Amino acid sequence: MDIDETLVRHVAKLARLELSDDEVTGIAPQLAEIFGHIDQIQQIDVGDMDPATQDPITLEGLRSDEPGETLDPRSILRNAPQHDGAFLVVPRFFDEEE
Amino acid sequence: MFGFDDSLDLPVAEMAQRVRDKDNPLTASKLVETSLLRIETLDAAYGAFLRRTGDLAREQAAAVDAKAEAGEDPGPLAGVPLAVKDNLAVPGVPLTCGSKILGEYIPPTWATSVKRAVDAGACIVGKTNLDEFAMGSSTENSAFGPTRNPHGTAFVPGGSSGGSAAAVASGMAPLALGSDTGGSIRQPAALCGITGMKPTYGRVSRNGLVAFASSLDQVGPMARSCADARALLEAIEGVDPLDATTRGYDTAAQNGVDLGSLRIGRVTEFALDDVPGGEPAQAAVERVRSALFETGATDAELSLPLVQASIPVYYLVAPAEASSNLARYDGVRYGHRAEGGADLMDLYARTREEGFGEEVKRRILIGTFALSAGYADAYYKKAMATRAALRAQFDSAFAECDVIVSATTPTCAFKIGEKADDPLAMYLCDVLTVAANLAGLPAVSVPCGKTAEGLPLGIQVWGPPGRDGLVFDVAEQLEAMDGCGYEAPEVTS
Amino acid sequence: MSAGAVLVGMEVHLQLKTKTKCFSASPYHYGADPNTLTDPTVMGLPGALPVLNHEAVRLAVRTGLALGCRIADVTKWDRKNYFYPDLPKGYQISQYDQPLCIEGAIEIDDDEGNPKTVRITRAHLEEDTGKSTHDEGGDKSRVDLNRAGAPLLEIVSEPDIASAGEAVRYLEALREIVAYIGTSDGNMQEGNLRCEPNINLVFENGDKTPIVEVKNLNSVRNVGRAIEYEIVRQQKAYDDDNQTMENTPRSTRGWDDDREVTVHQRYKESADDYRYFPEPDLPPLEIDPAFVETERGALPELPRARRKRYCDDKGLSAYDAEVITSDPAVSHWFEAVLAGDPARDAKKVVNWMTGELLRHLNDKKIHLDEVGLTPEGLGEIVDLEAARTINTRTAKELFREVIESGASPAALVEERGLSQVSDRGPVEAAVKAAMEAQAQAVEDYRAGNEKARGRVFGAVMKELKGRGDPKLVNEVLTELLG
Repeated sequence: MDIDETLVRHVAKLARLELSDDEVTGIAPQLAEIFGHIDQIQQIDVGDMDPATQDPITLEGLRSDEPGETLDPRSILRNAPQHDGAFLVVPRFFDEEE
Repeated sequence: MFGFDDSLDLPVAEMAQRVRDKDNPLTASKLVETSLLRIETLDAAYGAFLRRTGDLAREQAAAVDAKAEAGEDPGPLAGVPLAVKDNLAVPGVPLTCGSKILGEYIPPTWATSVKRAVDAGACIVGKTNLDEFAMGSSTENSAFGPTRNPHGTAFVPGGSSGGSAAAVASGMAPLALGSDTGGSIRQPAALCGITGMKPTYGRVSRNGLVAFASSLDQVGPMARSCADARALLEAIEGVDPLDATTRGYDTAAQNGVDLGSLRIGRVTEFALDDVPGGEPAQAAVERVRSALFETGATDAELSLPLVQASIPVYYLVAPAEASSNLARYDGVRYGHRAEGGADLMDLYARTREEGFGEEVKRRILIGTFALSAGYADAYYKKAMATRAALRAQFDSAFAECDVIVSATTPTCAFKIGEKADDPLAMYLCDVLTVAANLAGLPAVSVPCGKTAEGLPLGIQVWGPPGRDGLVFDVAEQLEAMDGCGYEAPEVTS
Repeated sequence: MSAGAVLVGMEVHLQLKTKTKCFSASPYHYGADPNTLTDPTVMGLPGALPVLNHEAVRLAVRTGLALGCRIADVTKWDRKNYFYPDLPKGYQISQYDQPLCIEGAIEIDDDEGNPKTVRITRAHLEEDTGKSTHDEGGDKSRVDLNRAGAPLLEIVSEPDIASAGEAVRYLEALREIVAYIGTSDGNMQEGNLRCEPNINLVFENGDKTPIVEVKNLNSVRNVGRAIEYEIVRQQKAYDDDNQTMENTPRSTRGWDDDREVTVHQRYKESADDYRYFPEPDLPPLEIDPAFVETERGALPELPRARRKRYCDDKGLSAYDAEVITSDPAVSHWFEAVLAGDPARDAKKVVNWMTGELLRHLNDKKIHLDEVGLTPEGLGEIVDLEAARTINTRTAKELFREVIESGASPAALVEERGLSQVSDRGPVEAAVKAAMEAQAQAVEDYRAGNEKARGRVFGAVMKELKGRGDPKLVNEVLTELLG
C-alpha cells in the first residue's frame, strides 16, 4: 500500500486531526513502513472464515427496562468545557454539517 | 526491605489475614501508611504514580479496620494497598489515561474491577502511569513523563502498565491493576520482574476501563507472586451487568488437569533463534521446560503459522477500534478543548491535535485508514478474518497440549529513548503477547531470572479460554523453580 | 417533454416506547429539562459501555411482525462513525448488515382508492442522537443529550410510493399500526416519528433524476407538500437542464416550512465514510423463534384488516369503519362492546359511539378511559332498545345517567321500572284519556289538520310518563282517531 501525504491528509480529516505540514511529512513514511509490514496479511488465505469474535448471547441475557440512576446535570456541567447552565455550548453549526 | 516496616512484603493472603484478625496488631491503616511512605520516598526515582490518593486510601483503610474491629469480615484483600492504572475510573479522582485530552475530567462512577477490589478490602494508594490510552510498550508515551524501571532507572519498565509494574516491583504497593490489550500487563511485568496476568477475555468487567480496543482489552492483576495475583483476580472477576461481554467462567472446572502429566506446548513460531538479543529469553524458556519435564510433563511441539500474522492483525484491529473509541474526545462534553475554534470542524481538529500525543494520533490514523471506504476489506475485514482463523488454530493447539510456555518478551528492557523514533520496532516488541489478546486467551508472565546486566526476564504460560486457574497452577510451578520468582530490585539512588 | 413517474422510498425513524434507553438504564421521556436524562453511557464518558434493553428488542420485533417482516435468527450491532455534537461517542450504535427485521410490507390505497403494497426493505434497531438548537444569527449552538440513546427503529421502504398522496397514506398507515400495537407514540411534532423521503423521477426513455433526500419534515402534511414540490422541481431540472443521475450526485435538501420549498443542503459524496464495523462491546444476539411466535400471537388485529372485517362482516359503511378504527382506544372499546354479544347490531353501536359518546367526550374534553360507562353498559342499552324493553327516549336518558356513574343500565331499568309500556290495555286507556284532554286537537285533526295529531301523541306519552312504546301508541291512536 502506497501511503502518501495526500492520503494522510484525507485520513486525518476523517479522524478530525489537524496535522501540521511537518507532522504530515513525518508521519507519512512511518505509516508507509508500518503498512509495508502489515501488508503481509494480504498473502494469507483464510477462505470464508467468519470474522465474528464473540459468541452470541440470548434474549435472557439482556437488560430489563428498569430505569437506573441519572447523572446529576451539575456534574455534567462541571466537566463541560463550555455550557450555559443547562446546555452544552459549541460553536454554531448547521444541521447538515458533518 | 529498604529498612521500612516489612509487613508490606508479606504474601497478600497473610497480610490480609493479619488485618482481618483483630487480635493481630497489623492494621489496614498501618499498611497504607507504609505504602504511602514508600511512594513518598521512592517514587521520585521511578515516576510510577501520576497521582497519590492518600486521603482515599486512609479512608478505605479506616473502614477496613473498623469492620475488623466490629467482628465483620473486611474481605480477602483486607488492608492491602492497591495501585490502579490511570485508565480505570475511581469516582472523584481525576482520570488522565496519561493524556492531556482528558483535561481535568473527574469520573462520577467506579470501574467495576476497582470497586470489586475495594469491596474485598483493598485500599487505593494511587493512580499509576501508562502509555497514553495504553498505547505503547514502554510507558514513554505518557503525556506526564516516562516511568523508570526499578531494576535500572535508565531502562523502560515496559508498557503500557509500566507505572503499575514499577509500583509493585519496587515494593511501593503489593498489588496493582493493569490492563492488557496486546501485552500491556505481561510485558511490563516481565521487564520489571513481577507477575502479571491477562485473564480470559470476558472474565473481568471492562466497565470503567477507558477503552483502547474493546475486543482485546482486559483488566488484570499485577503482583509479586502468582498467589497474590490470583487473589486479586478472584476479587475482581465475574459477570457484570454493566459489561455485556463478561461471561461467567466455572472456576471449579479448572482443576481437571493433572499437573504431574501436563502436555507443555511449544509453538515453533515463538522461537527466538533469529531475534537479535533473544538468546537469554530463549535460554530461560529451555530451562523452565526442562525443569517441567523433570516433574513428568511432556513436550508438545506445535506449529501455529498464523501467529506470524499476529502483529499485522493486531496493528489493524486495535487501531481500528481505537480510532472509534477515541472519537468521543472532542472537547464538547468533558476534557480539553482548544481555544478559539472558528467553527465546529476547527474545534474538533484542533482539540484533538492538541490533546493527543504522537503515538495516539499515529494509531488513530492507522485505524481510521484501515476502516475507511475502499480499504476496509483489505485491512480491517481481512484482519478480523485472520484473527478468527488464528483463534481456530489455538483451539486445535489446545487439543494437543494443556498449556503453552513461551518467553514473554524477545528481549529484556531497553533504554529509555532507544526506540522512541521507530514505531515499527516498538510494535514488534509485542510479538509474543498479542496473540493471547487476539484469541481471548488467559496468559500469565512470571519472572524467570535476569540477563547479564541484571534486567529481569519473564516466562509466559498460556491456556485455553476460561482456564485461568490452570494457567496460574502451572505458573506457580515455574515461579518455585531455582532462579525464578520475584526478587526485589537493588535500591537505585 | 414527458412527465416522469415518481419513485419515493421512505426512511422512517420510529422512537420505541421504552422506559429506558436502548443501551443503558437512563430513563427517557419527552420534554424534560436539558441534560437531566443521561448516564455515563449516554454521555459517552470514558469507560462506559452499552448494555442492550430487552424491551427495545421486543418492541422492535413486535413492530417488525406487524409490518410483516421476517425476524432475524441472529442479529448484531455495528458502529456508524461520524463526528457530531449531538452524538456523544462519535459513533452511533446501529445495525449495518444483519438487521433485526427483514422484508415486510405496508398496505395502502393508491390515488384511485385501490389497494397497493409498499414493500419494506428492512427495519433495524439503533440509538437516537441528542438535540441541538442554534442561536439565530449568533455564533453558538446548544446541545441537549436527553434524547441521545433513546431506541429507534429505522424502517426503510422500497421506492414503491408513486405520489405525495401515497406517501401521506403510507405514513398514516404506519402511524396507525404502531398506535394499535402500542410500540410508539408515532408523534411527528414530538419527534418520535421522523421521516425522510427519498424522491426521484424515472422517464420512459430510462432517464432518472438524481435521488433527493428531504429532511426537516415535522408533519405528515409537510411530507406530502415536500414531495409535490420535489416532483415539480425535479421535472423542471430535467426538462430545462437535463439533470439526471448520470450528471448530478444524490443530495440532501431541507424543507423550509415558511417558504414551502425544499432547499439544497449538500451533495452526498464519497465523503460519507461512516467506517461501519461490528460493535465490539455488544455480542451478537440470538433470537429464539419461540419468542418471535409469542410476540406474533400477542399482536392485535391491525386497523386495515379490522376495517375490512367491519365492512364485510358487520355491515358498517366504509366511513363508519374508518371513524371507529381511527383511534385505537375507540376501536378497542368498540370491539369490547361487540365482544359482549357478537349479535349486537354493530351499526347501532357505532351510532351511539359516534353520536352521544363522542359528543360527551368532546364537551367534557375528556378521554374515553375517563368515562364511567363501560363497553358492557353501552351493550346493555343497545340490547334493551333492540328488545323494545325501553324506547329511544329512555335509552338516551339512561345513557346520560350512566355515562358518568358507570351504573348498569339493565339494573337501573329493573330497579326503577323504566321498561316501556307495550301492553295494549294501559296504552288504550292513556289514548282515551289524552283524547279527552285534547278534545280541540282531536277536532282539528279530524278536520284535516295533520299536525294536531302530534299534540295528541304527546299527551299520550305524557300520560305514560314517557315510557310508552311509540309503535303501539301510534297503532292505537290511528285506530281511535279514525
